[in-house]
Amino acid sequence: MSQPPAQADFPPLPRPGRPRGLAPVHWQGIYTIWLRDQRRFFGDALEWIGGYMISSLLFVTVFDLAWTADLEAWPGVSMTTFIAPGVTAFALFATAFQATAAALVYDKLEGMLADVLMAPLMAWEIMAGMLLSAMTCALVNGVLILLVISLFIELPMAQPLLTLGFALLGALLFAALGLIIGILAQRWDGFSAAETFLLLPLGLLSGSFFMIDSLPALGQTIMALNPVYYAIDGFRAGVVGQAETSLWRGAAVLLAVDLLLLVVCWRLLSTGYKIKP
Amino acid sequence: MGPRSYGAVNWLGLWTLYVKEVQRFLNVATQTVVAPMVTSLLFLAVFTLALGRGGTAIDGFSYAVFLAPGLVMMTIIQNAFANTSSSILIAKVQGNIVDVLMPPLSTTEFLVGYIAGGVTRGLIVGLSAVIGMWIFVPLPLADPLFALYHAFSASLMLALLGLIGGIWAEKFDHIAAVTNFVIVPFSFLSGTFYSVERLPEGWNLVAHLNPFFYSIDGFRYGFLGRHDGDLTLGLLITLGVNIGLWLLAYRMVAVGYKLKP
Repeated sequence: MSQPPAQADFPPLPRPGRPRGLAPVHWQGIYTIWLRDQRRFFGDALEWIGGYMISSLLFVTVFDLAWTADLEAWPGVSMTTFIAPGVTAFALFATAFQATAAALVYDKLEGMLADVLMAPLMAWEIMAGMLLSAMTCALVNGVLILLVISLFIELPMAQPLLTLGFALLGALLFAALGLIIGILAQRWDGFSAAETFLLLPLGLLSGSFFMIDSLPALGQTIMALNPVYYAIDGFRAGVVGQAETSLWRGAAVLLAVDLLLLVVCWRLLSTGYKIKP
Repeated sequence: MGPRSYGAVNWLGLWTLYVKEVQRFLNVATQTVVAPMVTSLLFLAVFTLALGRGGTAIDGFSYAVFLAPGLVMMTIIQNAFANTSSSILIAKVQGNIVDVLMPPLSTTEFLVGYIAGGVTRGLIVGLSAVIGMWIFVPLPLADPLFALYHAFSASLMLALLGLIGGIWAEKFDHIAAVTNFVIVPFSFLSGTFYSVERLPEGWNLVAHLNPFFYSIDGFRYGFLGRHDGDLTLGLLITLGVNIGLWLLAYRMVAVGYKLKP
């Protein structure tokens, strides 16, 4: 007959009766949320990365075949070289959007969101974990797509840091947008409606595939107000070495829009709109 | 009370299965009808903007006019496949496939019910895309019956492929992989966006063995009256592929491959 273990077999509890203290920033919590979303994303890597890889390559191939004349966007830059970074940027931003939106809708419908809301995390810490994770996934996807495309066509890669900077600003924009949609959407229907009527038009009509001077005057004016256009233009400028508009203005517009979206996200999460009872 | 008897065809059962299949996608028409139409219109806008720069014209047709029928066919292809594959797979994963296997439906009735649902989705989506394009692009209509035949035969082919894929697949990943790596590439590369005459020599031959190419080319002929491939050969190939796929699907359902325990 076994005896109950003596009290001494257990290590003493650390400071019993005292709440666990947290530093001003709960780094461990942010990291955990980041890691969880990473694992979720890369668990379905074939679907996420493979799908975008194939569709990006298809777009580049189809455009390359459909041009009847050897068009040049700028002297020395063929239209195919012009398209390739646009296609990549579109896939990168779409990944950022879907990473936050799909994760939130899934958690909400499965009732797992409580696990995140109950953890001792501030609203901005949850937000940081989710957005950073989505941006990581998007960057990984974008880099892979650029690498595969560069096997087939020659990309100058003039200023990689410029590309990285605009990729981060654009990915943050779309990740934050995805977070807002994820909170607002009640079911998968809402998510896929947002994909069709928000993400696809934003991605396709923001100059990823065509030059701004192909547009009528009204279109050019609208484009100058479209932050996604600046993100794609800056991303492409880093790859091909030439931009359509001012990069500084683009960066400023993107930063302003990112900040605004961050405030909206933070507000939604901290008030618990549609996610807390 | 004796057993209930049926005529040669269980019309009520067949009709019920068909209505279930159609209502399944009409319930979420925003995703299944409106979204494909919006996507195809966006593609039309983007490609016309990108390629209109060089004043690209193909056989006297502006690029937008050349592109529009191809995009409609691409939409039909993707949606007819999505309808049957998702219906079968969801029913299998959720276990409610027994509701279709248990009723007194013969293999033919089972097939016709599902396939007719997929064909209906393909034709409805195709029609709405044509109407959407018509608003922006002045499409001629050279041979409506020919266009209708190819819309129907492509819907049938993809509905059959979707059924076969849905029966074969065990997880959503499987069907997503087939969609991403087979259906979408075929619908993109079979002459939707360009005349296959522009392909390099070896690929030109490959294109002429591809049933998707004949569907797209024949459908475009119905609107524009121009074609790349042989039209009669196109009719024969699409017909032959459909018969072959039908026999394969029939065999899979009859033996209950991955459907019955």
